[in-house]
Amino acid sequence: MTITIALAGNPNVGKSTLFNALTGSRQHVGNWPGKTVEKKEGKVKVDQEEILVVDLPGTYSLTAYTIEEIIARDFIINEQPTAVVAVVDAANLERNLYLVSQLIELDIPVIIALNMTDIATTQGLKISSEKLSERFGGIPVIETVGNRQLGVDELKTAMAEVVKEPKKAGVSARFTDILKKEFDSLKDQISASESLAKTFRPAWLATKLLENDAAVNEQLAELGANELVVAAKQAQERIESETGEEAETLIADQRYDFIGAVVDDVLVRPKEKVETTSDRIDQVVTHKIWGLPIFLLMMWIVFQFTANVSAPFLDWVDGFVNDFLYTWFGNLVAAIGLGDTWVQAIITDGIIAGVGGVMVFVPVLLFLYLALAILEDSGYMARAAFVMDRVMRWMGLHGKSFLPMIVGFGCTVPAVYATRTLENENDRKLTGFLATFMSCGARLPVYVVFGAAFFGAASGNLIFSMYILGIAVALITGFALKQTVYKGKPPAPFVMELPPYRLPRPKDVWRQMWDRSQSFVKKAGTVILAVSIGLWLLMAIPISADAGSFNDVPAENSIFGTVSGAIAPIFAPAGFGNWQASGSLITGFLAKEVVVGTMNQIYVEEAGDAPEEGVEDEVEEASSFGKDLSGAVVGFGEAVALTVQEIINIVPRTISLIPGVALDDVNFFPGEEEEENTTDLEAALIESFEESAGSPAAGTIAAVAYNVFVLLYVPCMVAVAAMRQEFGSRWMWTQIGYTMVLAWVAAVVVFQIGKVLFI
Amino acid sequence: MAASKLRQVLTIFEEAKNPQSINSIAKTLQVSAEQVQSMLEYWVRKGRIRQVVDTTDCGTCGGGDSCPFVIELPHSYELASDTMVIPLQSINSVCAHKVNVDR
Repeated sequence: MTITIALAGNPNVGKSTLFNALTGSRQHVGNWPGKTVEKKEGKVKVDQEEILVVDLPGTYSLTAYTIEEIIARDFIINEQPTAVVAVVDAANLERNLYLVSQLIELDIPVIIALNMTDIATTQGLKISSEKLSERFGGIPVIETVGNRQLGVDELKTAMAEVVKEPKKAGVSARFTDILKKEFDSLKDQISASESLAKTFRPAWLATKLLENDAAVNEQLAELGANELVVAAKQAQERIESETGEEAETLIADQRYDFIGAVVDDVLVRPKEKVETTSDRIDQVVTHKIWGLPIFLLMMWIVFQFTANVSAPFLDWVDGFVNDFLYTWFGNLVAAIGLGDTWVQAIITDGIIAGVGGVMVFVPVLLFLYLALAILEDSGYMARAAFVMDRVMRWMGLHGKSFLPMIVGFGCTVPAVYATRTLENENDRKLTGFLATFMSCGARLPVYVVFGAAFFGAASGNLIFSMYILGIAVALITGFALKQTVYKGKPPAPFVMELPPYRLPRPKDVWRQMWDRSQSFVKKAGTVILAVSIGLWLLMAIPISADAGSFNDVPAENSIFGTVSGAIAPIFAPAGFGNWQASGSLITGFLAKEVVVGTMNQIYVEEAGDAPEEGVEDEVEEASSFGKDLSGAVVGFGEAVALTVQEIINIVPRTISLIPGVALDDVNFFPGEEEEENTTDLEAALIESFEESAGSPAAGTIAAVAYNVFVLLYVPCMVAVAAMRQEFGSRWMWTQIGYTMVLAWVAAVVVFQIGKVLFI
Repeated sequence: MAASKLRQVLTIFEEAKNPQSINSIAKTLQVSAEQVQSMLEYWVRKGRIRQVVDTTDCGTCGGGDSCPFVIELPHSYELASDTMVIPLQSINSVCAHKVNVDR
């Protein structure tokens, strides 16, 4: 006869790892009969005895509410394995022991495999296996670390021992008072019935009857034991009448009391005051008055970090791409006889200007993702949702909506999908609508380039303002929609697990930062590359034969320039009624990063129509390649030093927010005059916006209006496709229409009111 | 008879006007946070509250392996709209869309 031992445990406790460690390759995978749940069984040989190990589905308990629970307990009751190995996560002992207590109630020998003891140790937890065994009536407790094969031999030995000498099942919660009285009565009735006592363990069945277990009731009805079911029902009513509580809940409560007492006895937690460090921090960070200002301050620091700390590298990459690569790729192509041809043009003015113009912002995104990863990994993001809940609740919005919206700071697409965490369909649609106002990482390059051009060292404030404006517009829009289109019940409360604060783990932070930045770079090599080439083509083809010839036409007379010029007047009230700005917005629908890439291409193309003095001479000198390259290397070193300087300067700048306090920045290169390193694109933007707005001051206001438009107008085509998939076409078109109108109105208001106030 | 701790967890939940943290409930009831979490899971099984899937990865857009913007959201629970028991389903559903109670 095959000896069978079942492996049970909560999900994610390392049960499968332990199963694999026990059985090696001698395992078979299938499905539980009639179910789609995977069944794994394998063989382990111990002391010449071959044992069949069956891996039961992971469950938190043995009620009848999930398929996994029913499979697990039916197997134990019907197949009657010799023993059950309860795999317990040592780092979450209390939570795991609920299942163990229920397994013991099944009156079957149980072995506890106390797994992941290494993780428990790193958390400072000390568990006494001897005491744990004692509290559960002497059942074996074996410490294991499944993924390192530690304790596996000892576990096999324990399994062999229980096979040789099946021990009595351990001890679990004992019922008290009326529960005990009714339990004993039902147990006696079951024991009195030979057929029932043969099929079920009386104690277990009595418990299930009191719990009003649906599956057991059904089974008993089929067996014709209706009287027992009726008796159980009456017992439940008496319990509820006397205690005011359902029997099932009372039973569960007594189990929790028992487990709590066991854990107090066997587990020593790290020496901490009753109030942990995380609790003390949370008292401040989630404070009902200070929580929001602290959140805003964190955001401000993130954007100061992003804008200022990345600036040295941004300048360096810009010089490297738009000067060094642009020049020397041009020379290379000319050297092979393709100079002044469309091939050279497509490489320099199309690919390098377009893709390179976007790649310049890789440092910006790297630092943004670094900052966000630190906040996520430290545990602060959960607190942000807590804090924002009060604000959103006040507006009738569901506080949990803020969590998907936070995702939108990286990318709108997963933010749309994250709305699936909301049960209510209206809440989902509303949150999806609002998530598009969370400024995604792809829009950041626009803010950075305009911030640098028009605001210099204060560019971080522009970026911060855009993000806060996005949140504000989302809240106001949500409030308005909640009072009208999406009117519904007030939001229900929720309970959140706030993970303890921890020092961000460098490996995880690096991985997040790298993966997300890589995604940006990959996009540059695909979508942005395609758009850059397509755009170059549309700028190379004249709108008519009179306008010029292929690759020899002023940009504004090309197909792209003409179409852009046709819609430009729409933006005149917002101060940027020029074809360059409006054209960039068109390509921004494909991918928001492309806005800057397009601008770079347009202005580079325009600059190319009037070559700078002295450039020709420089280009012809092949020997200056080495000089340029060494200049780039030296520049890189300077960028590193300046980056460190800017990281340090976050401190005095943050402190200087306090009214009346003005600390000086740290300067690693004192005595050197700070150069106004305006890139070609920035200079061209200043000139273009000043011209379309009418004056330098108006140009700055128009620049802000442009950024507001970029923040609010329709998201990229991938995000729009995600919305269509999630919410349907009609909703998608509504969203597109709303954002376009809102963006235009907001930009016009900013420009017009800005002129009144500041000019 | 005083309400059981298990019932008190549900009551705190139902009567809360603001979001609650598991730690704050544990402090109120003078039990461990782990026990509160276990108790919440009991009420999830009973259908009185629902656990919210804690990830932005729904498997549709390519999932966590291909989308680097998927982030791990904290576990949270909210009151279920109806008090009926959740019908049999698999606890291994990833997407919240599939875990919704059938109405």
